[in-house]
Amino acid sequence: MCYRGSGMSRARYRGFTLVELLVVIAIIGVLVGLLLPAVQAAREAARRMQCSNNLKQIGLAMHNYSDVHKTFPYGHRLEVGGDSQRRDNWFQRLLPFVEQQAYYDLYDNAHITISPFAAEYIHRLPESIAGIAVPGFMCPSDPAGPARGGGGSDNGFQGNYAVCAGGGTPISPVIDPTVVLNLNMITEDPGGMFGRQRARGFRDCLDGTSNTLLASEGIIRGSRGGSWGGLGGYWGGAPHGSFGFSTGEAPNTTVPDRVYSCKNANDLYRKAPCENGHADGLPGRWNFARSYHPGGVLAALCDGSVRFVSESVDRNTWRNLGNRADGGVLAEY
Amino acid sequence: MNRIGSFIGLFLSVSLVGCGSSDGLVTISGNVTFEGVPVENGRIQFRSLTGDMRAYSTEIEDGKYELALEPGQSRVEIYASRLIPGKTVEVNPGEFDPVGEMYIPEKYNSRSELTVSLEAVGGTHDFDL
Repeated sequence: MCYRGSGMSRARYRGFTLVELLVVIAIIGVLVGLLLPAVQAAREAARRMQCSNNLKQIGLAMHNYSDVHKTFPYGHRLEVGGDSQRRDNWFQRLLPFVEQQAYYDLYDNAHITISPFAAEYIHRLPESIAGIAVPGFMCPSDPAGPARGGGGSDNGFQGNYAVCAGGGTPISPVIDPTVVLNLNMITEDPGGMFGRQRARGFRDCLDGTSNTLLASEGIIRGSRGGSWGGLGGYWGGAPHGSFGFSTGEAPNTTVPDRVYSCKNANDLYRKAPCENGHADGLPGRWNFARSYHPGGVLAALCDGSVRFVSESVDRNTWRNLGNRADGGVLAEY
Repeated sequence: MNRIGSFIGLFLSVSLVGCGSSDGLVTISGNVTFEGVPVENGRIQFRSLTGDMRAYSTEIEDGKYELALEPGQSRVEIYASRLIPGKTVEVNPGEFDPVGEMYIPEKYNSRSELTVSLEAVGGTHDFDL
């Protein structure tokens, strides 16, 4: 027989002791414990990336719109009796610039193909037109999508994105300029880039495009249900608040949105409290930026960049971001 | 053996440090009455008068509220509404909606004169309007 080397003298088998095994198992356990929550977070991170891309596309579409029309679209159209396409808003204006030209034509020809009556108010349009869900306007973190509602009748598509109406204006400088704000978005100039009828462009962005918000996201309160004014109710809700959001309160605030009427019950949507402006006799209409992304919301700036803004952002910084000509110096955010 | 055991103990204790709430909010609760009657359905909002003047809002149900907010000086706004019997308005063609009114006077909400000073430990604050 031939033994190589000096192995013979070390023939006693060298195994692991119980303590060594326990240490290894403990270390593996700790690592798995660290990794498992991260897997769930990775799913949310992927959804957040997709949402971020959606906002980026909206930002690019706005820039392309501006190249063609020399301004951004209006927030929503001023309603004039006898007009057609009443309550038209930035969503419909933007459709040709997010590769939805065919959809836009379908909408634009509705007074011929459907009826002049249906085309007068856009929420009268049948589900075959108003109900088409545009994927780029849905945040994957919101389980409600593809949703309908927000514009009264239950047949119009409701998305997650809205344009920035500004951060409110002091009601009276005499009383208390910092506390009492008029947040009402349904005016020609609520302070941000978007309001009623008046289309604003890059030249109106006096704070600079990298210091002014363009769009952000909101929470849809359920897949179905009639209501007027919920954020993203593009088909009829615009003059009740759907077109935009206010930066008067920080993202994900516990202060409720105040729209014409709320979609579904408050206790189902703890992250998106809402009060019935009309039935409760409350003045002013507004939505706030909200999301299911942990800790904040995604927002697009007028330069087309997209940022994640923490819900603990300084409230005045967030307000100044929303207003296009406040002249305030932005703190780190 | 002892050394390894203490290493594991140290590792676990280090990795578990920091698991706890540290948002600096305190929880308060209380009752809200208007002219002696509990406010059945409404909202109460506390706006901090320090820092960035953040607001914290919650529902009042059956005269009770509970919420978490920043300690310190806060301005309080209380809202509650009821429908006006028999009054409707045609808001969209052919669609009549009942009309409501906010019945709490302005001095308790949009022109609020109510302020509270909240301790860092929270507690109970009742409002009798």
